[in-house]
Amino acid sequence: MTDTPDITVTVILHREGPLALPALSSMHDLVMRARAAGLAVEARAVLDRPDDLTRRMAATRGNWLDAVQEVSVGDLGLARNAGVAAAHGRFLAFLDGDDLWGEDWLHLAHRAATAANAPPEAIWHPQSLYYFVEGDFDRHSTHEMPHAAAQSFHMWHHASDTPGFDRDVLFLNNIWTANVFARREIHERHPYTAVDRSRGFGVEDWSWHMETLWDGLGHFVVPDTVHLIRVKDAGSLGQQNTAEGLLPHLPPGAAPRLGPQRSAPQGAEAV
Amino acid sequence: MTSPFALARSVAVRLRRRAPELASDPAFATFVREVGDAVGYLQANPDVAAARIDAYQHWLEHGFREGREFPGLEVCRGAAATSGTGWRRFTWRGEPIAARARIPFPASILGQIMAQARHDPAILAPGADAIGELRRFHATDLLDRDGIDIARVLAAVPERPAAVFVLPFLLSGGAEKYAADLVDALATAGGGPILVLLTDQTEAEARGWEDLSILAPFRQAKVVFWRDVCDGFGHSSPATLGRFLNALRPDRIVVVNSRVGLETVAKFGRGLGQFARIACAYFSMGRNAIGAPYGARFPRRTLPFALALTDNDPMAETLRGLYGEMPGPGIAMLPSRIAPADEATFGARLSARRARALPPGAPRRWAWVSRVEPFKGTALLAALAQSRPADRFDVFGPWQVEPRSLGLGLPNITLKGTLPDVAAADFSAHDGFLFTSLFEGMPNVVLEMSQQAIPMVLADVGGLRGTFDERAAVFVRHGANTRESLTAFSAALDQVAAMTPEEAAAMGAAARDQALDRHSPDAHARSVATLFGLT
Repeated sequence: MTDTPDITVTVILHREGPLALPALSSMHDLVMRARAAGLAVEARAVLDRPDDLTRRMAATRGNWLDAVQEVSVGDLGLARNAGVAAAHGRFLAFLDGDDLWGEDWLHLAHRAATAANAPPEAIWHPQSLYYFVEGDFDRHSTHEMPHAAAQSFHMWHHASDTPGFDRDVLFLNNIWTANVFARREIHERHPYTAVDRSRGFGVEDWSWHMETLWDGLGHFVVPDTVHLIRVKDAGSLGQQNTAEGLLPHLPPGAAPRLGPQRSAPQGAEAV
Repeated sequence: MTSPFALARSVAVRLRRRAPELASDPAFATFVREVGDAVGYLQANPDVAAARIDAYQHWLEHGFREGREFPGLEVCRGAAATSGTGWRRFTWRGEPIAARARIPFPASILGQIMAQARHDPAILAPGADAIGELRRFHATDLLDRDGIDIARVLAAVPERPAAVFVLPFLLSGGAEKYAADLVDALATAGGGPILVLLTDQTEAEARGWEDLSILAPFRQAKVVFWRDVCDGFGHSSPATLGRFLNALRPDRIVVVNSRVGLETVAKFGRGLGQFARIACAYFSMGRNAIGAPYGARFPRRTLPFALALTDNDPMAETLRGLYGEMPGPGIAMLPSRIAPADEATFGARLSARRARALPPGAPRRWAWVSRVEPFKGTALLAALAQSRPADRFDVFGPWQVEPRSLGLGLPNITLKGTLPDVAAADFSAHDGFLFTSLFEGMPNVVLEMSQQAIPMVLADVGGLRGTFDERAAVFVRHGANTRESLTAFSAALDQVAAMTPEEAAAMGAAARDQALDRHSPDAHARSVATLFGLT
C-alpha cells in the first residue's frame, strides 16, 4: 500500500453478528473492484463495543482488511470520527456493517469525485438504494410483477443541484444515507456530532447532511451505483432513533423558508 | 433513511378530499392510457381482472388512491411534482402531478444487485424477476414517502411563531375555549405570533368556526389545518409533527386534546423541550377511565418534558398524587377564564329572575346546555323528562349522534341546536339550568351559565366545587345507576322549583360572584404570564 491511499473505506460494526458476514463479503467485492481499477484502497473496520460474535466475524470474514480498530464510544457518529482519525486515504468512504454495496460504488465514486469538472467541495452518494426485506420471501413473486404486498423497494437519491431542489425537505426527513464518499478534509472539518440522548438530539447522518449542506457543500449522486440496505424487523438505527425520540441537530441559524412566497411554481410545464 | 414500512404503504391516502373532476384532467388520463401496461396491471391485481373492470379506469378512479402501482407508469406528487427534470406535468383533480413512462430499471444497477445475492439470498426475497419492478421512491418526495407535502406545509406558516397550539378541532367545547383563552392571554402578554395547528379537522369540516364567539381569540392567530396541508397520511405521524416543530423552534408549545400532539410530546418532548416551554392540558381522568380520556393515558409520558396544565383542583390533586415525584416542569392549575356579563346586563337578568313567579306545582322549564352525548348524562336527561312529563326540557348543544337514538325524542324535550354564544343567550324564561354530565374537568358551560342569573342544578363532578358552593348551586351526586341519579336530580329540580323568585335571584347572584372570584380575566392573565414565562 502507498503511504497515501486514494481511498480509505471503513465499515462500522457493533453487534451485527452473522449479518456482518455478507457485509464484509460485499465490502471485499467493492474493494477488489476498485483496486482492479488501479486505485489504492485502504480497507478498515471500526468495531464499536462489539459483541463477541461480531468480533469473531470481523476476524474471520474480515481477515483481508488492512486494519480492524476497536473503540468504545457507543455512538455511530463518534465511531465514524474514530475511523476518520485512523484513515490514511485522500477520500474516505463509510459503510454500515449490515448492508451490502454494488461492486462499482467505490471506483465510480472516486472517478466522479476526481473528474476534471467535479466540484471540489462535494459529498457523493450512490444513485440508488435497494431496501430489501427478508420477509418478502413470504410475499415472493415468481414472475416480473412483484407481489402486491411486497415491502422491498427502491429509492433514488437526488443531487442538491437538481433543478427545483428544496433543501428545506431536510427539516422533515433525511434524504441521503450515511453511505458517503468525500474528501478527507471534509470529514475533518465536519466531524459527526454525537447523539445527545439527554437532550433528545441525534441521528448522526441526517444531522451531518444538514450541517454540510448549510455550510455550502454540494451533495451529488454517482450514476450507476447502488447501496443495498437491509430492512430489519427491529433494531435498525432508524427505528431506534424513532423509538428514542431523537430529532436531528439543526445547523446554527438554520430555519426553513416560510410563507406563501416559498411555494414551488406550479403548472410551468402543464400539458 | 427512516420509515421504510411507511414508504411501502405510502400512497394509501394519496388524493386530497376534493370533488371528483375527472373530466377536467383528460390529459393525464390520456397519458396513462398511452404509457400504462393494462395487461400487467390486471396480472398484478387479480381482483380487478376478476371484476372485469377496465384497467385504466380502475386505476384512475380507485387504484391510484389505493396505492396500486400501474406498470409502465411512474408518478410523483407534492413538491417533488414540481421539480426535477424528465417529467411531464399535469394536474389531476386540481393538484399538480408529475408523470413519466416508467423507465426500465437500469440494467447495470440491477446486475449489481443480483451479484450481491451470492453473499445474501435475502436480496432475492421479493423474487429475482420482480426486483426491477418493485416500488420506486424519490428520496426528496416526502409526499410519497411520508405523506407530507413540504411545500404546502411550509407555505402555510407565514412566519416563525413564538407559540404553537396543537388542537384536534375547532368546536364549541370547553377545551377549545380553554385553549382560545390561553391564546388570547399569551398574545396580550406579548407571546405572539401564535400558530394554531388543527390536527384532526379539515378546513371544510371546521367551516363556520369564526362565528363561534368562544373561539374569537383564534382569529388573531394563524390557523393551519394540518390534515389539509400535509395532503397525505403524514398528518397522523408524531415524527412528522415533531420534526416540523423542531424546524419552527417556537418558544412555547401547548397541546390541548390532540392525540398526535400528545404522542409527539411523549416521543420528542425531550428535544422539543430544549427550546420550548411545553404544556399539555389535562382536564379529567374520566369515570373509571371510560372513554380512554387523555388525562388517564398521557401524563406519565409527557410530564418529563411538559407542564401538565389543568383547570380544576381534583385533576391537579389526582395528577400530583400519581406523578408528583416525577422530575419535569410539573403540574399547574390554571382556572379557566370567564367572560363576565357586564353589570347592566346582569342586573337586567336578576330583575327578570325576580319577576318570574310561577304558582306552586306549575310545570317548569329547564335549560340543558352541553354537547349532546352520553358522557354528558343524556340517559339521565331522558329519564328526567320521562318522569316529569309536565315539565319542558330545552336542549342546547351540538350533537354528532342523532339525539333521538339517545332517548331524547320525547315530546317534552326540544332540541334547540348549538348556541353560538351562550353568554348572549336569554334564559329568563327558564326556571333552572340542568347540568347532568357524568365526569368533567372544569366545565366551561357552567361558568358561562353563572352569568345568567339562573338557579343551577349541577352534577357534583370535576372542579365545580372548587368554584361554587351551595349558595350558588344545588349539587347532586350521581347514583350508582340512572334510577338512583334520577331520584336525586328530580329532588334537586323540586328544590329549585320551590324557591321564591328572590331566592332564585340570590342563587344566581352568588354564582356570579363566586365565578368571578376565581375566573376573572385579570387573574387568568396573570397566571398565564407567570406559567409561560412572560412576566
